Amino acid sequence: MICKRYVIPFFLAPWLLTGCMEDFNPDVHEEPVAVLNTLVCADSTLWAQVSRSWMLSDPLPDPILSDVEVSYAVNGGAWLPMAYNPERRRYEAGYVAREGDRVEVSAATRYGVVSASASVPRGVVIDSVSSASAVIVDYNSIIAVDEGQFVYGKTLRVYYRVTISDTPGERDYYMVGGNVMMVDPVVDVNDSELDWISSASGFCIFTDRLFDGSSYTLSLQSDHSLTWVYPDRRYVDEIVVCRITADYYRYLASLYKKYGTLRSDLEYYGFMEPVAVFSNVSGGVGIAAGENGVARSFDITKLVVDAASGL
Amino acid sequence: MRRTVVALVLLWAAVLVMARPVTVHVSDCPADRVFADIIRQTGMNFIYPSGLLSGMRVTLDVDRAPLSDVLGRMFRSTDIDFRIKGRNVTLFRRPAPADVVVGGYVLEDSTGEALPGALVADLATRRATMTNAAGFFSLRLPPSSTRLAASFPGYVADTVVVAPSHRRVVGFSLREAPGENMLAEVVVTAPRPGSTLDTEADVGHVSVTSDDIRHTPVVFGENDVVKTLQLTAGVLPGMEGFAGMYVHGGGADENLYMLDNVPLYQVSHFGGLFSAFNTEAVRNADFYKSSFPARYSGRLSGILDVRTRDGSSSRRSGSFRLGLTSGAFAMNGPIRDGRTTYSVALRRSWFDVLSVPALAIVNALQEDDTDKPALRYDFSDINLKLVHRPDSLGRIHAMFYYGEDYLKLGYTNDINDADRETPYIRNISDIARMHWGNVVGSLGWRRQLSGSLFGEFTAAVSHHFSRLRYDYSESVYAGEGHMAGQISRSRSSHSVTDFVLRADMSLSLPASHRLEAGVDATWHLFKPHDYRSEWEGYGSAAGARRWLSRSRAFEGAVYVGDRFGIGRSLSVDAGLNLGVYITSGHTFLNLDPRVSAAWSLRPGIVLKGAYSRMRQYVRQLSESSISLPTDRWVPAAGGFRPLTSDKISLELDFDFLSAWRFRIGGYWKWMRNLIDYRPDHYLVPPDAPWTDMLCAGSGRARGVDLTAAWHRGPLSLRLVWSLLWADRRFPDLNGGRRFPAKYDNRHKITMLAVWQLNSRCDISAAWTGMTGNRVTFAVQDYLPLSATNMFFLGGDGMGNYAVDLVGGINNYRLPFYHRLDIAANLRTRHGMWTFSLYNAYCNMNVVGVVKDRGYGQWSDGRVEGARYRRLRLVPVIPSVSYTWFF
Repeated sequence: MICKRYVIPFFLAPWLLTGCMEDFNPDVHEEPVAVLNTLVCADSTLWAQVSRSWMLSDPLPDPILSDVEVSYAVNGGAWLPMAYNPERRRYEAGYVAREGDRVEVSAATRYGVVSASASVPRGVVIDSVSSASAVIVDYNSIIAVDEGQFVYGKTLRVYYRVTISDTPGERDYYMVGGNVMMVDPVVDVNDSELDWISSASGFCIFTDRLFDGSSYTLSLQSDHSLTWVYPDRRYVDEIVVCRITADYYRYLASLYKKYGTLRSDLEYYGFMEPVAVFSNVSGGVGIAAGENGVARSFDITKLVVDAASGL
Repeated sequence: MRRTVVALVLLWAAVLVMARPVTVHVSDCPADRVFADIIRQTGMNFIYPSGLLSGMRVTLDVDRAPLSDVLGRMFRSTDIDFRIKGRNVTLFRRPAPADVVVGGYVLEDSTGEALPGALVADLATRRATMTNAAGFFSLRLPPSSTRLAASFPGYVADTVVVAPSHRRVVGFSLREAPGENMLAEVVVTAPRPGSTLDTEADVGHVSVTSDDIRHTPVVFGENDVVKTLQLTAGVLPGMEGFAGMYVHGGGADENLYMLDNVPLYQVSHFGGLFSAFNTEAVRNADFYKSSFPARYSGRLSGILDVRTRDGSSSRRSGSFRLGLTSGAFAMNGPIRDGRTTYSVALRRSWFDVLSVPALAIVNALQEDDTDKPALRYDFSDINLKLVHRPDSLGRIHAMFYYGEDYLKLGYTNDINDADRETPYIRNISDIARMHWGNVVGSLGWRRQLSGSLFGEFTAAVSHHFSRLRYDYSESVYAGEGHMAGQISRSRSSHSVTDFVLRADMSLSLPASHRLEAGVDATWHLFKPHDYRSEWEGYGSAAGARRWLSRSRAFEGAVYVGDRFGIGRSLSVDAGLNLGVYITSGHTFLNLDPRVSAAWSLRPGIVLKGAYSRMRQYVRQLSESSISLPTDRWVPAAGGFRPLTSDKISLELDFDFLSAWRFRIGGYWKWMRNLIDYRPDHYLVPPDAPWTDMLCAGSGRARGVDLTAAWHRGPLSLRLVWSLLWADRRFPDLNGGRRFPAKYDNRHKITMLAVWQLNSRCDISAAWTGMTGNRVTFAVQDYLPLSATNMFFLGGDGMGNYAVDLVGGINNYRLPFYHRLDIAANLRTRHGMWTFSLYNAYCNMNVVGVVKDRGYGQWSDGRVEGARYRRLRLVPVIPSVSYTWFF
């Protein structure tokens, strides 16, 4: 939020107004650490990215490791190799993951052997998805058409309701993606007061803590500018709801805490203890994540065109 | 009949013996030779302890006088007595007359304010004591007439002749000594401080007066007691310019701040830039960091006991000060006959006086659809005190303190084009308001209950609060006269409320014992988290949520301590503090020993040692290294035991060449049951117990402190060097490995000079240098999971994303820190100008390190602009203020 621009500079105003930055060499040498990232998705081929950590002063900046032995095993089966794909800069296997698979990945690098595992969670049960309403709003939109001429731009905001059913008795983790945004946050990440000043209108990850075992309706919205609308173009809203693994949830939550909140600025300048991004990789860092999602698409071309033509 | 005759015969014989005349004509003759002659004359046997007559010489001229008369005259001016029984004469030393306790007070002559820590000494027996925080003292003296002397630095000493058998209450009124250096002690006819004052069994005790505070050069010229203490040995300031206090490797929340015997929680304004103690209201402060009297408990590292002015009983006076950041007003004086006095001190920042109207003008000139900032900050505090003196031995007071900070920030953005065919109206408001502070009210009664018994009784309420209110609203014209929109509101607060009852007694006992005992009861009401949010808008369902956590705790203590001397060279202060802490489901009973001793090896050289065990039942949770209003106080609960520390200290005080005074001390401190945030505390749901966010560990600190002070005439110098090692170990942090504490500053050096140029002008300069603070510096980066980039990572706009690889906690040490501060006070006819230069040679110290990831493309293998950068802050800051006295 805009407030974020003021809070930190306010508390540091007497100093920031007079501060300066200078380059330096920290004169600290740390050995690079092997990094393993993989996302196991239902109905998708397996892949893994292997890289290494680096210092800013590193003369070899490209961290991707393309020459290591990477192997995988599914459900405790035999270890099979993965091949490097130079276009996508990652290792891939021909295996298509299914719900319930437990995948292990291992890479032998010159910085050590790293390994991690992730499971493909159960799919999300979506009871219903509906477009609840659409409203024309003015959303930060004065647009200069010509010198001295202004048009008040308008936005079509489309609201959706997505009802999901949760499995009782176990903790489930969810993620919402696509081009929609949550406006009814099911907040689970513990926010301090500072975080609430700056949070966006919703998180995109949440747990079933508040609706374990029952149904819950998410409120989502998408915004489409009505200033320039092209009738021959298709306008599609895509809503993706995923169930994710606990480790993936922790990873995303730690990223949010570190980079998406008010404390980020304080941490950047060293006034707060830095958050360590979650890792479940042994022998190194990174994340082995699992995800199983379902997508729904809504063609709102007519809605957009009609709204624009009515202006 | 026969028995009667025998008794009469014996009585006649005794009478004959007693009545046998003795003739003695001697002059300055050894007593044993006189006795030999008397034995020859009387045939009596003299029985007495060897050495009783050693060195005694007799001058006597009697002729045929009874033996009893002769002996009476011989021993008249001595403490030797005799008893005649039959043919035996027994000589013995008369028992010393019982001491008499003399009590009283030492006050400032012009205002009637108490002078705590003043020295009161008997010039004959060399017995001495110091006044307590209320200015009272009690001293055991022989019943014979003697001269008592009272002295205090900066004041003219006073002496009175006292006959303790007739006069048990003595009052001193000391006049200020103009032109005297405020750091120098006034030499009095009392015994040398090295043999009396320095033998007090306090290790690491520092007394601070309001003059000491005014002579400390500080940023913006805002003097305060905490920044004065930052220049003493063993105390680290933490973040540059902020009023932090890290004592002997402890944390900022491990210090107990007391205002007239009542604990305070929020002791700073503006993130710690200014302390909550208004210098105009402060009379004196006592700071303990090594040995702790038994009456104190509740914190591990330091105790700061601040006492405020009672008000002058003779005349009304006051001051008005205006500086670059704040203004202050103070006034005190008598009410009616002077037995009741008042003291008022107000302080308020004045940024908003200019900023608010200026911002309003700027915003009014802005065009539509422009963010108009809303910004306002101010702090204020008020100290009120009413004191009634029913007689010269007692005082009743009512005290009120209110200190607050208020911050409003955000923006609005409006479009109001109602002239169009279809009106175009849109309003956005995004405002946050923070309000935090302390409210304290107390009633107290202190009285010299008898010559040997002093009591102080306190009842108080202390409330610390912090509130955050956030409002977001967006409304647009939706046609047909209607506005549509959405709102989002959240209210967050946390608070601590204490109800306090205290009774402290001090009793002077024979054989130089001074017993201190008391009881302390505090009922805590904690509200660590009270959060409410509401939202509704445009087509989405309205919603609300509330999270509330509360807890109660009782903290009590009974203590007893005894200060006594062994011989003439050893002083001991031994005590016990029995503490109880009751919270939901848990009761902790703790017995904490405190012992300290001072051994005067020879005049001017004193060796001291101490051991203390301290407990802490409350903790301030903070993720930042600056004091933020969102830092919350929580009780030890949920399976976490009270914080505990054990500390041993040794100290050697000695004078050198009559002008130098040295103090060298060493200490070792062990801390247990420390708590801190878990690494994944952000995953704990907001309605879960807050204790789920915490983990426990231990810490240790050890070091050496050296202080050298010198004064001659108007010039005083003080040099301080502190050496420190401090570390922590938490099983859940840093992989369970031990790591350095954040303020593990290996060396700290301060040099303070105060020069009283003349009666109108004084200059002070302080140079501070210390090893840099420690920070956790993630030197390396690594690539995240690519699918997450769009959500959380801003990247550099060129498609490059990276995540910090956090290594060890506090793994990097910032460069050596140093600065010079200079201040000058120039007294005018009606007031005083204060000029100060903070960081006089403009050494902008490094306060943080950052990683600038630069720009570039991975695909071509080049990353340009990536670099490490150091943040330097705080240039030279001049300031000026004027104080008008009336």
